[in-house]
Amino acid sequence: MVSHALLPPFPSQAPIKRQPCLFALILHVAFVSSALLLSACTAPPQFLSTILGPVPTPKPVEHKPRREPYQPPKPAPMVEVKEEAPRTDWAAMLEQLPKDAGGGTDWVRAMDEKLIDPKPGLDPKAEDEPVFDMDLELVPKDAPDFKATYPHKIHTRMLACTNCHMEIFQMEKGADPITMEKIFAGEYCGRCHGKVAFDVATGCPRCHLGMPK
Amino acid sequence: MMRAALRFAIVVLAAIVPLRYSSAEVGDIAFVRKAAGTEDVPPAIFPHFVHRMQFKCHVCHDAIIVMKAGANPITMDAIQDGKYCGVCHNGKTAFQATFEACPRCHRP
Ligand code: HEC
Ligand code: HEC
Ligand code: HEC
Ligand code: HEC
Ligand code: HEC
Ligand code: HEC
Repeated sequence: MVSHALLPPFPSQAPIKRQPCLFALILHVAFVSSALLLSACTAPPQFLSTILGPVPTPKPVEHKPRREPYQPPKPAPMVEVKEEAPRTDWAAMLEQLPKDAGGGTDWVRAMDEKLIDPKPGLDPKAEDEPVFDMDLELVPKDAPDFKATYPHKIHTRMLACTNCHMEIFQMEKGADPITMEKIFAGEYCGRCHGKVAFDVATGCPRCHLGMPK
Repeated sequence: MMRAALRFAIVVLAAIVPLRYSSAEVGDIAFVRKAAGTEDVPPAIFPHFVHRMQFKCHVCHDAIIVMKAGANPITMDAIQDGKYCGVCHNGKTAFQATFEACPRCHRP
């Protein structure tokens, strides 16, 4: 049996006088307001703004980039290399011109058909001298069958009078002792024919119009 | 020194540039050089056909060039001075006598 005597005497059931505690009140207010604040802070702003007025929406802060943004390198500027003007293939152009019986170029036809148009001077505006139209019949005394026709027209549309007169030919029909021998040796007509103009050996009928072609 | 370089250039270019004319055309004038000492530069060739397609005979004869083979004392100095071929081959009327152009006239 437990002896009650060992226990202290139970306090007497005196009525407890409850007094409002100031400290507890402060603690209570602090707790409620901090809870309110916490909920206000975590809730979307509209909640507080209903009480405190509209919250200014924050402007996005614009930072300057710390370094220049990457730009792909500019393509190297195209350097204009002056191209050499395309070469005229003169040999191919010569192939286009008509050929004569001897296989050479027929320059008379080339000019007649306006396939070439040689300029009369270095100046593009240069005027040409008028063509001198006079055919001469050169008749050999010993062989009248071999009469040669010299056309001034064909010659003077590219040559000047001074190219022939008076160094090569007199300005008088029959004044020059022209023979085939001398022509083949490069005199008279042979100054040009056989060198720059059509060949003599294959061109008999072009001068001797009566000879068979 | 300069001459030697020029000669070397001609030899090299002549080897590279293919022959543009396989056979001589009637009227091609191959110049005969009288002065000795430049044998490694082949003599110049004057193609009449190229020129007579573009100019009448009297443009050259006899104002610029006498109409007789060998009658014109043509040298490179005269050409650079604007005489003979240099009347036209000055970069305006026709190509100039530049490095690349040597083998166009001096064909081996
Ligand atoms: C460029 C023009 C030309 C050509 C091409 C030409 N002749 Fe002649 N021929 C002449 C002239 C000009 C004469 C001299 C006319 C005179 O006596 O006045 C001549 C004269 C002749 C004579 C006369 C004799 C003589 O020797 O003078 C004979 C023959 C003759 N020619 C044959 C030929 C034969 C063949 C050919 C072709 C192989 C030919 N000729 C080509 C211009 C030409
Ligand atoms: C390609 C050479 C050549 C050219 C260029 C030339 N002639 Fe002739 N001319 C001759 C020949 C050839 C004769 C005849 C000469 C002979 O028979 O001895 C002649 C003769 C003449 C005659 C004499 C005719 C006669 O009946 O006696 C006259 C005039 C003449 N030429 C004027 C001219 C004039 C003007 C020009 C320039 C517009 C000119 N010639 C250009 C070659 C040429
Ligand atoms: C100054 C140079 C020159 C002289 C000199 C010359 N000719 Fe020509 N002749 C030419 C040229 C260039 C042509 C154009 C044809 C050609 O180049 O093949 C031509 C063309 C001709 C033609 C035209 C042929 C055709 O198909 O119609 C005849 C004909 C002719 N010559 C005859 C003569 C006679 C004859 C003589 C001598 C009395 C003579 N020529 C002297 C340069 C000359
Ligand atoms: C428009 C045609 C032309 C061109 C381009 C040209 N030459 Fe010439 N050259 C000639 C002619 C024509 C001659 C006289 C004929 C000959 O000696 O072959 C000549 C002569 C020469 C000569 C010997 C006579 C002298 O003047 O000493 C030499 C060296 C020479 N040329 C070097 C050159 C060189 C190098 C070049 C290139 C830079 C060149 N040539 C380009 C036409 C030409
Ligand atoms: C761009 C100039 C030029 C033109 C255009 C020209 N020639 Fe020539 N000609 C020359 C030269 C360069 C020579 C060579 C001269 C030298 O060897 O000194 C020559 C030489 C000649 C010779 C002499 C040939 C020889 O073997 O003796 C004759 C002929 C000739 N030309 C005729 C003509 C005729 C015809 C024409 C027109 C169809 C003509 N030329 C157009 C430049 C020209
Ligand atoms: C009247 C003017 C003129 C004169 C003078 C002249 N040339 Fe030319 N030559 C030309 C022209 C225009 C061309 C065409 C140029 C081109 O093909 O771009 C040319 C082309 C040439 C070519 C052809 C080049 C090729 O690509 O095939 C040769 C070679 C040449 N000339 C040599 C000469 C020589 C050598 C002389 C002097 C003897 C001469 N020329 C005098 C105007 C001239």
